[in-house]
Amino acid sequence: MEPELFDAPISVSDSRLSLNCDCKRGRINEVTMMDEIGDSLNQRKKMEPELFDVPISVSDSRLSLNCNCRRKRITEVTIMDLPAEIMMEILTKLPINMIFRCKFVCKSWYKLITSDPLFVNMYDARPRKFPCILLSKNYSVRYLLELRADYDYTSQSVNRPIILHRNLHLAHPVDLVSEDDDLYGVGGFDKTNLTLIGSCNGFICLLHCETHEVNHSVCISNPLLGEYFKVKLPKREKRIRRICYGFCFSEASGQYKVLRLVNRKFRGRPDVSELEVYTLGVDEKNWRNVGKAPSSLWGKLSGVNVNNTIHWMDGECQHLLL
Amino acid sequence: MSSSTKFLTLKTCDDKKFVLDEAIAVRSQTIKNMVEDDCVSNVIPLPNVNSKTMTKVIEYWKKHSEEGVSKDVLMDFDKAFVKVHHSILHALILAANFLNDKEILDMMCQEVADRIKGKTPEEIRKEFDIKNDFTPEEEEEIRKENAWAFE
Repeated sequence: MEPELFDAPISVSDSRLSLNCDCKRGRINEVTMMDEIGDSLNQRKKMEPELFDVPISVSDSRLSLNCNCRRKRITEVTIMDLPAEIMMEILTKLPINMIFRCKFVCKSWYKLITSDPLFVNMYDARPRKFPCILLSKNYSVRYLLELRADYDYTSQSVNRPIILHRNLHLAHPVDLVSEDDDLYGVGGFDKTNLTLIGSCNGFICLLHCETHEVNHSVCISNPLLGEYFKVKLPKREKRIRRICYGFCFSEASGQYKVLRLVNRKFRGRPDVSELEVYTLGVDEKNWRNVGKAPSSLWGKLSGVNVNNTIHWMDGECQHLLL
Repeated sequence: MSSSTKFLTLKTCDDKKFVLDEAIAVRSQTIKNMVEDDCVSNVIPLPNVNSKTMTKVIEYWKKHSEEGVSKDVLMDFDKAFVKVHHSILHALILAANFLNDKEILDMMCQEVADRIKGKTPEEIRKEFDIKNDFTPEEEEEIRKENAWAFE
């Protein structure tokens, strides 16, 4: 071995060999090397200890030494030195369950993922986008699965579908306390009572309980961020016979809207269905009534969202709304 | 654009000079803009890039500018190219960002993502030498919220 003049302080640790350099310039990294080289280096160390005050470096195909002398650290770039946009670029390349894990790593990543609006936009705009499907069990939305070719669903637990309901921390409605506590998930709500109203642009709109129940609620969730919020529903009216919900995004205004078709009973008059709209972020309290709608729309089949248009089915034809 | 400039001299932050064919150097959008705006004098200073990183970048540029290289060869080259120590990888990302070379930037970001993939938060911290700055309480809180991500 023909060592060059070292240009950085080194430290070597080996089962049979331990040498720490006296360099005051900074922290030293652990170095591993093959045993047979260790001996020769150990000898050299005994012979020329003063050499280690001078920056040294060893280059050999069988041996790699890293040093973290402060002089060198100035130019050494860590992942924390990357600008936020690049870090986001990297994170958006990850599968979604990995993104969740990255939230734990440190505060700055947590902030990046949870509170930077750019992140969601970038995640949405990423070139290698994989479709997600929501899996239901017992008529209730349970899992979110990102479809990727590189998933091995059988062996790698990290690639399993994420369980959606755990992520929705719905407050526990007081009236909903059931004798059967097992029915309630971590967030304290009935696992079996969550149905999908619609989804667009990565947001999903869920209905909790049946629409005919007094305490039903509607929430919109971004499963990627694990956030949700409840849509404020108008007070329950007694004359309402049926309600069905829809969820869509209006590209023209850039707004998310929740629609509901309300079928009310008026004495002595035929049923009237009206469409009401709640625009996210705009309508704080009120649902705007936007007019009458055919009364024969089906509730259960509602909410196919194509090209910013909600398609509702009635007996004979499709109706295009918004 | 002046057609007489065949070679460009790039000067890195540690005062090393690289003489490079202009056709290759303009893979960097930053350099390309400078050349097109005719604001290239003799030497292009690259204050954010050191010579070690620049050597790697040029190695990549040259390989990808070679004629008659098969796709497979390039793929193998890229595969080997990204297998570097973290610090070099991150330095390359910063350099690619400064030089505005989307190709290298994308490839390197993908590599970092691949290195994160499949790891637990603890493993990620260890791998990238990141300090856990959460208090145990905060960590517990987030862990509760996201318990499913670890199932």
